Amino acid sequence: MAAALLRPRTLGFALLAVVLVIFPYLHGWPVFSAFISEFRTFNATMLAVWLLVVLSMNLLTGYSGQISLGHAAVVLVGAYTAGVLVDQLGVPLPLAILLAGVFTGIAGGVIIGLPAVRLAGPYLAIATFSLVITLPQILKMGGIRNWTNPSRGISIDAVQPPGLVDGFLDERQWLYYITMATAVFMTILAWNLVRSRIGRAFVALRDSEIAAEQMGINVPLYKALAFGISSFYAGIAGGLYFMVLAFVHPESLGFLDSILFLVAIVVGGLATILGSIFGAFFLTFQGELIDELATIIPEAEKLRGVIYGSLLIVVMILFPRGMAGFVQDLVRTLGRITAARRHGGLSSNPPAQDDTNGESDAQGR
Amino acid sequence: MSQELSVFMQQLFNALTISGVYALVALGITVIFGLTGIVKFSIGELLTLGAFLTFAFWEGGTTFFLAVPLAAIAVGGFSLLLERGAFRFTLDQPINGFIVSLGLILVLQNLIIEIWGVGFKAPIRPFTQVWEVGGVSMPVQRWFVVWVAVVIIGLLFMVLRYTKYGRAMRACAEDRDAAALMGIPVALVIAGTFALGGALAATAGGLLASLFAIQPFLGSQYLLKGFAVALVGGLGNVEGAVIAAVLVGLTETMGSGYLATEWRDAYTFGLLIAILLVRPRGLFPARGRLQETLQ
Repeated sequence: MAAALLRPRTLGFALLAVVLVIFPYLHGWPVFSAFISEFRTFNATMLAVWLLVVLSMNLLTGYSGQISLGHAAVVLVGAYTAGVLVDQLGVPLPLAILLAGVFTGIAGGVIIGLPAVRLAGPYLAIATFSLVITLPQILKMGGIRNWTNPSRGISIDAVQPPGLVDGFLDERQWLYYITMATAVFMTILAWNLVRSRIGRAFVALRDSEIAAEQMGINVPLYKALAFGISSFYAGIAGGLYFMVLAFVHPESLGFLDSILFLVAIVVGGLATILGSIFGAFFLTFQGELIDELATIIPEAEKLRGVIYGSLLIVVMILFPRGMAGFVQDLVRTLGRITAARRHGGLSSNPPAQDDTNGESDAQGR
Repeated sequence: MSQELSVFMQQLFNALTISGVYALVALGITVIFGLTGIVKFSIGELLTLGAFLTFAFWEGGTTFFLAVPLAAIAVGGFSLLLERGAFRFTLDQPINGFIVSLGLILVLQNLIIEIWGVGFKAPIRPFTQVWEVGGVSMPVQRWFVVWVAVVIIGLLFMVLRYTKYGRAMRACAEDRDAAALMGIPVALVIAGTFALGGALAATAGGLLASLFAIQPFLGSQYLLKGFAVALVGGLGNVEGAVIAAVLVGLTETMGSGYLATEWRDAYTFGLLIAILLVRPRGLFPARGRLQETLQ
């Protein structure tokens, strides 16, 4: 038992947990304050939100192979649902976020998922593309205008920490903890999901619909389910987005964001949880990276789109499995080297385990 | 001619003009998809590039009639380079090619904005006469666009049907492996088709530059319409795309002429959704092994 606790993987996760817990205080500590500013807490909070967005997109595109260009619209629906619930009906925010997830999940499963049963590949892409183009118009339409307030958007006061922890935590730290806790919880959930019966059905569906059907997978059901689950994640992410920024507007997220989400999952790595984490880092820091680049090359600021676009093309051609694929290959090679060394000496240890079990090869589509 | 009839004829004429442009875009999309299974979203940006190049040539003193073919050749060549540089690596994974084309949209759109700015460019007017027949006003410019589109479509059909390249292309679309075994240079045919698709889109763009004021965001609008047309006609089906272009052009013009104008795009997509619900692979589904595995 003790040996199991000391395995590098367990230790790694324990270390990660400790870092996540103490992170919002790091900027106040003597050594760390040199390179971690208070603003990083906000970065980390957004990272958690983007992680859920990327996970949601990866479940759909990476695992189930359904390309959606309308993902920004789905997240926006989540954000708006939470916003309207809080603003118009006075629902408490945490409940509103949960309801936003459920509502978006059901809406996504029914409105996009059911037609998607009949629409494949390019047909689906164009359908979801028109969704992201029309949603701002829909939000500005007569019937729901009074609720969505398209001219100024919906804004709320920043979330205050509850009285219980008053004094220990400030606003930012409180936001960080609830957002990060939700994200971590839902990441673990996704991790389990993709290794379950449902996750395997998604992968089978992606690789070949006909083969999946022959294996007894209910194709229409699982397709709709993929959209439903993905939209649920996107809805929760949207709700958190609204909570963190305390503001939502019909044009908060648009087509460019949809593409950016796609860039994120491709750069991070399709169909891996690790890839989603890399993707979330990319979404969080891309703006800053380009600002940095702009200090060296003044044109970079204006050519933002060109940089994203080129990045997408280059990664897609040279590293179709993204960062996660690169890291996995590295780990596998290192594992092989250490295993070989061990076998050369004492051969009582089993060879290094292939820990990518269940992580499917993104090229296998 | 009665008042109502002349209004109707006017709408019909407008529908014909726009159908010609849609058909050109849709043909570019449909030949590339039929051959490679790649959904080339960046064709909209190639159209914009064609429009702006035509404008640039025209501003540089070339006549409009030379500017359009020049732009078409330039964009066709550019499209060929893109195929050699990027798309050919994604041929066995069409979805990757689709993602590459999305990246290309960002690159091209931003470059066009960098070079030409975000403002509108006034339409080029090589013809200024307007024919009046029974209360229907038909600018010669629009007739010109219609005829150019008809001639190009006719030529394309002849090429596909009777030339060696056309036969090779149809063979590749049916079954790429079998075509390769018959000694068809598949890679060359695919590269040629990308050039063709680019040139068609650029021609559409050049023609648009003589009808409306152009701006850098032109592409996405015509991409959507071109795609709607290609989907209604059945992706990969060349004849279907032409029929669908007329259908979409009519729906859109008649819808905005007789019903509310601001719902212009909604009519097209309403038609698209209605047709896809009944026939998920379009009115005239394309044949071939690639098509059957993809859809």
